[in-house]
Amino acid sequence: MKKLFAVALGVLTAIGGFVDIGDLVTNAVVGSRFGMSLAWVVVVGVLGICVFAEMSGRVAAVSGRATFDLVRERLGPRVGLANLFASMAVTLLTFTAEIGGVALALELATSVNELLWVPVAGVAIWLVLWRVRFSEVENIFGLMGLALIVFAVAVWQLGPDWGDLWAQASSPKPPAEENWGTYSYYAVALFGAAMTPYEVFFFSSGGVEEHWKTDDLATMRSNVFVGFPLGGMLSLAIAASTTLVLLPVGVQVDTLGQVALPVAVALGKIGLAVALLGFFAATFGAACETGLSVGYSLAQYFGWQWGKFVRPRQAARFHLVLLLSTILGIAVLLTTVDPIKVTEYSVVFSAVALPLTYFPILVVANDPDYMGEHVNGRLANGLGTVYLVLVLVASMAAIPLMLVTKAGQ
Amino acid sequence: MARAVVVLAAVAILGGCVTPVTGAGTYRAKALSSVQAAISETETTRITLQGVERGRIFGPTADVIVTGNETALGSIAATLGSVQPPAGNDRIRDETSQLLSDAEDAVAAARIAVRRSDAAGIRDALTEVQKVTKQLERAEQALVSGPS
Amino acid sequence: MDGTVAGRRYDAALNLLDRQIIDPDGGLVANVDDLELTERDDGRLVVTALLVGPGVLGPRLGGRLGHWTVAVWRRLCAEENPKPGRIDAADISRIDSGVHLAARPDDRGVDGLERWVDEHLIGRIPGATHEPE
Repeated sequence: MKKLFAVALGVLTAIGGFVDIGDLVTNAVVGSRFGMSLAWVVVVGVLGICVFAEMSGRVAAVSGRATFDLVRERLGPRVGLANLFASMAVTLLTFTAEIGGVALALELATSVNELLWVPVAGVAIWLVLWRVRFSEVENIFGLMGLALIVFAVAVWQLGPDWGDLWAQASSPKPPAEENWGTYSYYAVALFGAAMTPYEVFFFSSGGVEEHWKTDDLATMRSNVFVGFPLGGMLSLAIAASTTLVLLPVGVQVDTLGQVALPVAVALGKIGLAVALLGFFAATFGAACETGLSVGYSLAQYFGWQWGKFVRPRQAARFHLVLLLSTILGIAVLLTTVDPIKVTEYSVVFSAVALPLTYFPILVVANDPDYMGEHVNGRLANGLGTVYLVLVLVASMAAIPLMLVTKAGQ
Repeated sequence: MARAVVVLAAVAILGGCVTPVTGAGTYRAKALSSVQAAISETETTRITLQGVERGRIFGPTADVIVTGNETALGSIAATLGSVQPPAGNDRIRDETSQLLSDAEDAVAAARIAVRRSDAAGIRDALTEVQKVTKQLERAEQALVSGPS
Repeated sequence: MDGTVAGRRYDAALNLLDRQIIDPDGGLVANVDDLELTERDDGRLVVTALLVGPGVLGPRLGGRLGHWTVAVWRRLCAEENPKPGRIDAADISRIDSGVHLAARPDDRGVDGLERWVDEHLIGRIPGATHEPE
């Protein structure tokens, strides 16, 4: 019974914790401009993250070490440093975007200006990282994130022509007002939003934080193979909601408020309140995860003590990195840059960094020294290799597409 | 090689900021995209105002959305205004600028009414916003269909 | 290249370099950034110590980045000719996926930065000694 409860909790927090500010914004924008014609990218991206999250979770459970930890050992300090640099840069950018997302969600609820919320959100996030237990952070924000199911309810309530939605999803080409350039650009952005690099470090470091062992493999797999796809469905629901309400009238999403509008139209104030709660939970939870990931990657490269499973004084450098990252994130947002713009850049650069971050995972998961009998089987390697090719293509196409389409215009 | 990438990236980011002097066809395209962006803002305002009228959106949320629309319209107008119109495009420039200004006024009235929770003001603003959206849509049609 | 530890033979490059150093309580210390090799009388090279710090990691990174790392480290160190953090090979108790030590390292070069950050920054924030679980 207790085991069942643990499994259920794991799945639910995986669903609720799946969506972050990148998914919220990118799916809403795509729905409002391309309808459901990019839905296939979400499906491909979610499968990809499942494959690599399972690998990195397995590495943590079997070897007791986090994936990033093993990258330097396996691939040497130079490759490890390149990996570290790319991952940290992108994760810091994502962290900044998440803090901005929290501030925007609070602004929408109170009409107090976002800039005033930025330091409040930043300090709150740091305090949670300083004091609140790891499992509590995951459980509280994961379960609160389930509020985003309201988007699926809203889509249902809007009574769409399901046949029409399906027709859009199954014809992967740009609609009349867009072109192949912007279509491909948003395909890459959506892919980067679904397969964010920090997700895999965080998942394996989190596994070490929670002292996973080989008996936890089944629970970990259910989190990944049930939780993540269901979380991915929430992404599709967000896209569908803007497709139904905003696409027909020519509204192109570029603010968080517009993301919430379809829910208000469909379900009124209650739905809107739930959606705002969902925004807050998703962004706050993701901010904690990305903040921790910056600390994990730096500490694990140098071999410093890391983690929330020890007293802060025993992981002083790790906590210093968390503190400095938060200060940096707040500082960047206080330059009045639009957090939505930061989010858009973070998903595109995530796509660029993907090969550097995923390739080492594949290598480590195949190493019998760490994995014993749990090395990758043929399926994992087959899928892993296919995805490695996909992320390489996306990574190489990202910057040129951004230049050519002027970031999607 | 790395330096080339950095330069390219810098060009890309800066290229998004500068509005170049353009030929007649491209000016028309610029006016068209301004009009379409404006429609996106006014329609958002309309949906929000209707939501407020029907008690489906909270005051603060509506305030944030509509204020955002107003600011965005201001910057759309400013961006178009900063582009040097090539010869023969002055009429397009004047008409489009006027429309964008009307749109900004309508949305500003909406913002004021929403902040005051003024039901009558919201109804009037809604009518104005819908009217200006119709004008923007007509202008969109005209710009799409070619020189007049 | 091979080294002998407590009677067993290990391939030092494979089993020692870049490995996590773990102290007797299970705490993480640092990664092995380089090895100190000594030539024995019979001409063979033996690993006599683990080396830690930017001063020895820099050269392994190579190129301009490596030079720059070493130069910055030299500037920041108080002494004239700074020595890298050193852990004697005799202190190694066993080697599995990490390098386990029999005694906590007492060389400031190994954990100096951690001590400094702890004393001057993190340790001063309220709640720093809060038990995690």
